[in-house]
Amino acid sequence: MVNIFIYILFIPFIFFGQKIETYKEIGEIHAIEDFNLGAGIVGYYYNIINPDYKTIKFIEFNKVFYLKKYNINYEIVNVGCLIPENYNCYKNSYKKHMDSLVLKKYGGNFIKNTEKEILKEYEIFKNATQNELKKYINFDHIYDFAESLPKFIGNEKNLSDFINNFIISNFENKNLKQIALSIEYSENGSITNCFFTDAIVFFDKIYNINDYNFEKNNDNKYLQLEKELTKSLNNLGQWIPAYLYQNKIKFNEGFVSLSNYTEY
Amino acid sequence: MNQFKKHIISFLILFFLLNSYSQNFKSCKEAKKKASYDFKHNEIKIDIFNRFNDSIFQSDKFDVFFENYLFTNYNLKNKMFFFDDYKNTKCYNEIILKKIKYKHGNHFIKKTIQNAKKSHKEFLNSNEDSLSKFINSDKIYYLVDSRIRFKGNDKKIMIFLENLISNICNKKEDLESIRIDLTISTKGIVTNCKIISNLINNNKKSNIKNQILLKINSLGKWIPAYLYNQKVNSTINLYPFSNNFSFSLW
Repeated sequence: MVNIFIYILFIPFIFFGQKIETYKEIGEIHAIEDFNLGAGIVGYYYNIINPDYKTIKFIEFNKVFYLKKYNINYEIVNVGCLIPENYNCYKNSYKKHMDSLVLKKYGGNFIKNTEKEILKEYEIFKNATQNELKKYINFDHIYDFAESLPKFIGNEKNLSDFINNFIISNFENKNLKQIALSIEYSENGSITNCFFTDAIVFFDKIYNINDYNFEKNNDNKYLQLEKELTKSLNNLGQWIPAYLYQNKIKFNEGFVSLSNYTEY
Repeated sequence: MNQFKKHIISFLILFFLLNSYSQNFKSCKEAKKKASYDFKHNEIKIDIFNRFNDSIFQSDKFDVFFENYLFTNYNLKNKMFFFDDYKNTKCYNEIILKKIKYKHGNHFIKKTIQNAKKSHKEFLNSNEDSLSKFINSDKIYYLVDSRIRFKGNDKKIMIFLENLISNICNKKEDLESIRIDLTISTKGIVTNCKIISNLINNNKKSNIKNQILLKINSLGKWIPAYLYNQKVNSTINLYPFSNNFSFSLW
């Protein structure tokens, strides 16, 4: 009887434990995948009192610096794993594995040395002229952050109506809330690519490859739809490109969600 | 001694009762004052149209239309806002209703909802060309379908504002609180500007305003706001020093 009672007491921990394992595993898989694609680096905090180094501007500079010099994605994340079904558990595991991969490749002092380098460069950057700012930009890279985002020149509602109608008419029998769109812009503002993605990956669960993604990988129809939409969007109007440090850049606007859609 | 204790206790009870009464009275008075102020500025921050409970408003399509209808036809803004304390809501309500009835007549609420419903039906059956009649081109709309955007690099505007304001205000702590509201016309031009800050005096504010209005249009044009597929005047809120905010890691 006592044994059963103890067993019942531990049931929640057994389930939680399994969840943590899953999230940890996914974190590890993603870290290895990202590292092989060009590496990512997560949440290194500067142990510095100077308030200048705790600003959004400085964090952004870190991202720019890592991308330009090492082709590494730098990302600030709160890492703690208190609630098992928390996104942080995933990031916690991701960071741990990414750390070890990055240090293995670049050496044990890589992060400390780079931090020093960045602090020096940041002082130069603060007084840089418009022309000097160019050296911080990797013009081949498709950025996902910018000081000024791409903008449609015209009525944004017409744009979202068009996209939503396109999706509604082409994705029959689908849960539309699960489908999101990401758009790639060139530095002159034209659209170079459109990708349909699974919104659930971002808003609900971490690694949910649902039926749609499976279909997409196995069906040429979706690739053609993406091409068709790219062409149609370019015909719909003009865009102002994204800017970073006063330079026009390539940009990937991730996940234009259907929730933007309002109808009167 | 016991008698003395009793007196002390009853005194304390009386003190707390009186204190809470006077606080309630004070906050009711403040709520009434706020109601008068809001009415003067054409804003009703209470649900006098029963928008939360009437099923017709449950559809976003009508609720948003209604808010714009109210603004277009009666110059009234009905942004939702509730006081925490029910008594204060009552005090606020009392004054607002009194003033509404005095200005627009006894059946204003009922009639407005009825007329808005009719207008919405008409709106739904309208074609693109006739949508303009639901808009007053002189008004500065606060609820729009497509927001204002600068036709270029946003940073250009922010750097301009940052430099201009830093030259006028010396204290760093004054700067982070600043909000600049720019009114953009249908032609994509800045026509007015308002400086919002509790830390900057009026002289400095008007100096900043004049400088902005003098120079900002030379930086480029804006994509105006759209409502019902028509360009409308609207306002954009800018926080020029937001990029310098401290990043909280926890």
